[in-house]
Amino acid sequence: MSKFKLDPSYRKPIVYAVLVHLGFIGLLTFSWPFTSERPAAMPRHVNAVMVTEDMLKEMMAQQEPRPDPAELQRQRDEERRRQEQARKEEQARKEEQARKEEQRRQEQERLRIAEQKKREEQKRREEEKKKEQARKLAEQKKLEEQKRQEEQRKREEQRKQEERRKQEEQRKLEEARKKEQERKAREERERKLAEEARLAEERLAQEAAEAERRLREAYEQEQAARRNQQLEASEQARYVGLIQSAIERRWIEPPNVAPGTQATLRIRLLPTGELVSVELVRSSGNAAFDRSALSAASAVNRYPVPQGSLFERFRVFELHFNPKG
Amino acid sequence: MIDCKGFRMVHIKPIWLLMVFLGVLATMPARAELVIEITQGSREAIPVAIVPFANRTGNALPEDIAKIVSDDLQRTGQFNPLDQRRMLSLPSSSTEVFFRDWRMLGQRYLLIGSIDPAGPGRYQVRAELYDVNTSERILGEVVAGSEKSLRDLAHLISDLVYEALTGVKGVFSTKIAYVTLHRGANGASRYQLEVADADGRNANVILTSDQPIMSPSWSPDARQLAYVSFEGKRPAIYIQEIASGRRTKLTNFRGLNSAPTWSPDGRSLAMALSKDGNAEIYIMDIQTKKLERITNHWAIDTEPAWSPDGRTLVFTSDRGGGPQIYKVDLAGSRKETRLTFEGNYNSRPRFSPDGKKLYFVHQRAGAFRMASMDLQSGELSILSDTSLDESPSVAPNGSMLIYGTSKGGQGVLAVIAVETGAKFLLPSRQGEVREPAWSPFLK
Repeated sequence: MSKFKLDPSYRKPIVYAVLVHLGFIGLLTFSWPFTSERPAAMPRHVNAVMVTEDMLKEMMAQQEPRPDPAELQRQRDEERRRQEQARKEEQARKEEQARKEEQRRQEQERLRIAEQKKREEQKRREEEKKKEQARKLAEQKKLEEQKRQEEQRKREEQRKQEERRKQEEQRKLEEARKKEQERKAREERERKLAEEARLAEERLAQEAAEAERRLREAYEQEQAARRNQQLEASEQARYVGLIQSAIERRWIEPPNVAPGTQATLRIRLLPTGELVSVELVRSSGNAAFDRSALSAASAVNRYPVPQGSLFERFRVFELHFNPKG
Repeated sequence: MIDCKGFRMVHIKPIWLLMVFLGVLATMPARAELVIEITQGSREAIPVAIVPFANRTGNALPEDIAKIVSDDLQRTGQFNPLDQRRMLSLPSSSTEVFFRDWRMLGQRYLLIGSIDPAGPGRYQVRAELYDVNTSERILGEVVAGSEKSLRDLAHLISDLVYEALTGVKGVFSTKIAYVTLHRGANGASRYQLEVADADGRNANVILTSDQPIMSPSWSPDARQLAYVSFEGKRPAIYIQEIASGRRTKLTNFRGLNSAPTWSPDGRSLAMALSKDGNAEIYIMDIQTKKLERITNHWAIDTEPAWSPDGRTLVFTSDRGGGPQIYKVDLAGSRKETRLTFEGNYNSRPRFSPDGKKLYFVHQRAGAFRMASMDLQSGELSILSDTSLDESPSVAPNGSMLIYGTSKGGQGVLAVIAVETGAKFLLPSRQGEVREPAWSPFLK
């Protein structure tokens, strides 16, 4: 809406612009043939045909329709006048022709000059052009040179870079190689160490195994001994139980015994279980109690005892009389 | 490497090392001398063979010593004398003893002996006690006495054997006092205070009255008896010297004069008197006749008994509505404390010689029975299975309790062996027997 509303401040410039444009258009319109003529290559030699006025008249008359008698008179008059005119005109034309010739010559001269000029110009232009070209060439060359140099430089750079890269690579390679070497050395060292360690370990393991074996043997012997002992212990426990019950069946606990009354007897047996001796090791302080214990211990005709080595545990033992409640 | 080694060494083997160590440990205690614990014996009666004593007097003797000893021991329930008929031999000296025989008979002890003349009218009794199993001689005693004292000698031997085998002094030589009632054909009553051997034999009348005699109590020296006699139509407390028969009337107060009991030190008598109104407990100094009133209650307080240490009196009181047993601390505050709570009748308390138990009459389900109570725990035990039990009295060794009971409508004396529960009746005689009192040990 208001978009197309012209700002008043633009009016003048627009008018100027239009005018300028119109001017340009005009210029272009009128200058076009002229300018277009210029670049047209003019022949160096022009075969001009001289066209006279008469010829033209005749050409014209041939084309014109036949006039009436009055007209003819008039035409004669006219013809005369025209002849006159034509003579005059001829003259004028001759003059004109001469002038034109002159003009043409001048023109030719001018043209020639112009041509020359043009050629010169052209030459100049060409030279210029050449120069320009040369300049351009030079420029180009320079540029090329520059470019080349640049490229050279770049190449150099590249080369250098490449060099560096290669060096770097080399270095890296070297490094890697070194590293590899180191690694290998290290690995070797490690391997050796590992080997050593392994050997040591093996040796240790062997030692350990050996020690363990020895210990195990000892343990097994121990175990065997212990099993034996356990067997013996259970066997012993069995006989202890038998003896216990044998005694307890025979022990008549005296009445009115103070709590805590205890007596210990030492029993000596033959391997047959026969009593060798009963000895009061610790008296209860109560003669009847002691006596009851002695009597009970003596009441067993044949003690239940194990055969063989286990009997040794029963060769001498103690009976502890310790009534509960 | 060495560290490593050490490390490994420690790491692999501790199990074995430990096991070996434990193994060693386990074997160690086994090296000590074997000790077998005997924690309980049988409570059965001890089998004892009492062989008839060889009579070398040339006379027929009135007493069978072996029989008396055998009976004495058997009545305790703690001995099981062998029947003489089962004996394979009748040895009277060690040389004649074949222990194997006695062992085969399952005997534990063997008593042999002989009676030899010891001058005119006197005999010497030799007794030997053997342990059949050890073949050891436990006792070898020689006692002498007149023919009349043969029973006493026998009881003495019983006492020695009992003490040797139980550790407790025997009470077979002690006495009992009791009251008998004879009803004559004419309907007259005759009360007698008698003293007999503990087995009820050898009774001697020390007092006769047509009036009731009650509550005999032994002096601690067993030489005197205190009792209540109604001979003057009114109850009076007397002390009588047994040997001489000499009597002393201690009290004759108006009203009740009853239940005298001798203090352990023998200087005082506790008694119940109603001279001040109703029955209260008093203590009389025998020498000075001075009375000390112990209780003061509207209820009846009677039947006092001394604790063995003489510091406490227990008595029966109906202050709680029925007869229950109370105690009073003589040494301290004189505070009276009720002791019995079980049942509605508990009376006539007597201490055990160790002071730990109380024996009394306890009524349960209409029956009056002997009961004992542990003074520490308060636990009550019924001891008798008779129904009209009265007047418990404890033997001085605490092993037996004598009391009066009724059998066939007659009052008789019964004994309970406290340890074993063995019971026996003392030989019955004509008439009622009641209110037994077991004497202290005779000096």
